Amino acid sequence: MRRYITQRLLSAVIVLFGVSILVFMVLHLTPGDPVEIMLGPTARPGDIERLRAELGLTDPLPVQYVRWVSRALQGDLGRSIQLNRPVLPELLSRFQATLILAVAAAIIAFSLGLLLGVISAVNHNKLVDRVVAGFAMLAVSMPAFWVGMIGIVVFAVNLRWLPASGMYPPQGAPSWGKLLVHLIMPATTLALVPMAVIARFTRSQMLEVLGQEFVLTARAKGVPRARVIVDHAFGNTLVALITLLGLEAGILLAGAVYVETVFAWPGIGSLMVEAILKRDFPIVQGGVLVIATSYVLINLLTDLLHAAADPRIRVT
Amino acid sequence: MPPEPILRVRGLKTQFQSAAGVVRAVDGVDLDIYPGEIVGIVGESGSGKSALAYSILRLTSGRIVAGEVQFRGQNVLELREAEMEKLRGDRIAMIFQDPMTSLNPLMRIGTQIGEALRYHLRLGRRAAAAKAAALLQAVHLPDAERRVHDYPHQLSGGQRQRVVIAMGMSCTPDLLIADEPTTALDVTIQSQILNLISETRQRTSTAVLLITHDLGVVAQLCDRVAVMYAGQVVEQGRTADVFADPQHPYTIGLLRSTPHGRRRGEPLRPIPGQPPRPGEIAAGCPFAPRCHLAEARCQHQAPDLIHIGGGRQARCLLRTEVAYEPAP
Amino acid sequence: MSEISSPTSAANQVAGAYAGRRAADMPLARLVRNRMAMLGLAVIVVVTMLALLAPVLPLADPNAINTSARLKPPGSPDAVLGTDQLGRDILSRLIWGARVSLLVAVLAAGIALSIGTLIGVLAGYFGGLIDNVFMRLIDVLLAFPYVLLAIALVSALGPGLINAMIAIAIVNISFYARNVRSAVLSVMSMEYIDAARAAGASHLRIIALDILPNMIAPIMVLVSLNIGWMVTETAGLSFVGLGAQPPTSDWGSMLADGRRFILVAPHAIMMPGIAIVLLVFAFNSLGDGLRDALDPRLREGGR
Ligand SMILES: Nc1ncnc2c1ncn2[C@@H]1O[C@H](COP(=O)(O)OP(=O)(O)OP(=O)(O)O)[C@@H](O)[C@H]1O
Ligand code: SF4
Ligand SMILES: [Mg+2]
Repeated sequence: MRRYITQRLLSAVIVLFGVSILVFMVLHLTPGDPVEIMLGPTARPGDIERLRAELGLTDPLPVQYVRWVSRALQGDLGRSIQLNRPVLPELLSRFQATLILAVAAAIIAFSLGLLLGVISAVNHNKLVDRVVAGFAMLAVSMPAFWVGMIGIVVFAVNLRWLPASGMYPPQGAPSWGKLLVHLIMPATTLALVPMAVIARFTRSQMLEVLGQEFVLTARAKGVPRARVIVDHAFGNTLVALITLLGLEAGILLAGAVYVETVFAWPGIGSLMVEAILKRDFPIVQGGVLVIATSYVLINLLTDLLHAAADPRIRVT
Repeated sequence: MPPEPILRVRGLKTQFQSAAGVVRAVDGVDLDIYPGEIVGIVGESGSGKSALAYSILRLTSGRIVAGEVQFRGQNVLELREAEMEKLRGDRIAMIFQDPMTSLNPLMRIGTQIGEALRYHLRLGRRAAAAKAAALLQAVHLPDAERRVHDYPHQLSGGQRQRVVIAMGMSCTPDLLIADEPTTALDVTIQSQILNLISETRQRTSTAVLLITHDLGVVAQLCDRVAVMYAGQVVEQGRTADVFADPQHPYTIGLLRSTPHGRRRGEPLRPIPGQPPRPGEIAAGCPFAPRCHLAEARCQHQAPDLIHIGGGRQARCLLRTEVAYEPAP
Repeated sequence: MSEISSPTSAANQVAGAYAGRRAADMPLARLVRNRMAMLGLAVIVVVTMLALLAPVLPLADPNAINTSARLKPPGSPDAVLGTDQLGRDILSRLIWGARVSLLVAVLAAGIALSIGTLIGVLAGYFGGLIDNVFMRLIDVLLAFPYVLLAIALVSALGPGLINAMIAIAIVNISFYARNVRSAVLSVMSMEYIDAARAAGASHLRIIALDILPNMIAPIMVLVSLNIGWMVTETAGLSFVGLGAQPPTSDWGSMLADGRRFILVAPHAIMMPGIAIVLLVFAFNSLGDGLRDALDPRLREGGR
């Protein structure tokens, strides 16, 4: 177990190193002079020179990289050109909003996905199974940004049940209740695809487990069918499901970009889209770094959780 | 007065629906098992041995379309599922071929053994755990008290099969069905496990239905043997009689094709041809295409399983029926 | 040259695997029996035909602005699916937009597929250091939630349809590389590869004649499963403004246009959205059907 953990930590560090190089290179991949692009066509030559020196763009690349990384490690991701503020605090406050949205969506996706998957597997090849399969297929085929807009038309505009956008109402003090009401639509929209993925995975995993000999052994012992499903099949399915956590986190973080745009949710995804359109490179760079780092950490956690839940990994 | 059989199977038919049509996996099986005896079932792969075993416990994924399975005088095919569950693991237990997959990898072995005890004997958690350790001791698992806390992957294949046997024997059933319990094990471990089964049988007087490919195992362990071909029992009798003087051409071929069955000095002779494929069985004797004694009438007349004396039965037109006499 | 590494040997292997089965069990027959997959195929064919024939179909000019006919609802006499905020015919724009959406998705899939297959084959075939280096690089690509990497790349290259396509292609290299690699590994374990090697066949020859022919089935499955995702993703990037820039427009940018008018004219987002769902659903059902028919081992979770 200890060896497994060290191994995983080490590979996470290596991946993060690769990520940092890639993110660093993004700025330098840009065709044309990033400084000129940032400042726009009206910039004066003096300003360009000053910003270039300020950003250290005149130094050799490795020097720039080391400086950038060591600053990043100290929490200094530069200043936003547009906002003229340090990048990190801005990113973190936006990231918090994204996390709230993603966690809410994950709760919906896992609870409903598991339920649908188990129902499907237990009713293998019956009508319910087909309906769930069709629904899952439809869910993964619907772009979140479109579903979100339909939701706004139906539930915000026509029925007036839910707010159309934002995290809180424009006026008044923020409260948990207001947050919850604002969360319902974006979180459900974001949950749709991961829910379908979980339902399908749960179904196939559950069917595989139900076909294994130990399930038959349990039945031969006289354990009632429902208890076999709960005590034997579901546990094994859940452990397998842990491996899906990382993938799900990826789907959620990615989908957040669109859902946040549609619902004007003040998250890191919508921040980055704005930043790209406004050529605010430090924000983009920092945002990519923050999300990628947390994604790597989530994957690391997933593996450790899996190791903790599965005795076969635990001892080795 | 002969004892009543504990299990009496009559005309059992189990079918599977497959892309290639209906597979008649068990096609009219008659079989008796008496208290405390070991009955072997042999036959080529696909002859329906497992399907028969699963059908007896009503655990088959196929459809049981006809027949009776009388256990202690009661037809289990008529029981409600809840009553069947009370029978399984308590009065009739079953153990499977592969000890690597027949244990839940996420559950401690003590808990897995304890399950049957909790459901059938209504033992509490603590009592079940204590009994589990005792059962493991009885199957000679070293360090049993500590081992109950282990997960399956921490045990070797042979040790796991001991656990599986302990699990099957936990409620001292009247009948233990063992589907190729040693096939997945090393040769040296195989004989240990077989010894364990026969030792356990002697201690508890549990009857055993032993499915195997190994005629040597049958010769060594079984009181009686039933030979299956294409979903049917084609010969049945006391092991010594069947081996000394096989009455069905398939049994003759089977014995000649394995080192345990042939006479000393005779070469091994495999049975020519292939067993019929599902759905291919036409009228007549299913074995006819491969039978070295087949006659013209075999092509269109299907033989019945008939008593041929000495408590033996065979399903061949060349044999003549005698009045039923109980096994000596 | 040894007989064993001839191209027919690979075909024989495949045929051998199916020998003795009935025609009803053959992959193509299984695919044809799958009603959802066939429905998907039909939708794809129809959409592709419409897109290809757009210039000769009797359609209104997709870019003709008519301010007197703005946001007309569907069912209007001269605009079956209605008009958008500039009075442009939505049906016509949908069909012309299909050209863009399909072309981008197919090109992106082609690029990702070529590079990913190259990497997968090299890594799987040579193993060792090459495999290690490639797979670590893939790990780094996988460290990004996929849209995020596309966004990072678009930010480097600048918004635009071509750049969005390049970004989407790069993001999907890892998908093809990993799956092709594992398919190569399973082929490598077959005896005839060893035999070809023992007979002194060159690496290039073995790859071209023994490995690649065996990749066709898995790659077909991968592409069909992947391309629907590419359609959605292109539309997504266009929707947030990072893809198609005016005057070019695809289904994503039509959604972005319509979004500003959802209060008064919801049909402007319904039509392109339904088009996307229909096409993506079609690709996904075909992909599922192909996977079940050709390669049941490729299961869920492969993204
Ligand atoms: N789930 C199933 N679906 C369809 N056909 C099945 C199924 N299970 C078994 N069969 C068929 O039933 C027949 C009998 O199978 P069974 O497993 O009982 O054979 P067996 O005698 O136990 O063989 P082995 O010695 O290989 O274990 C075979 O033709 C098999 O293909
Ligand atoms: S009935 Fe005929 S074919 Fe069948 S076993 Fe007897 S002799 Fe052979
Ligand atoms: Mg069997």
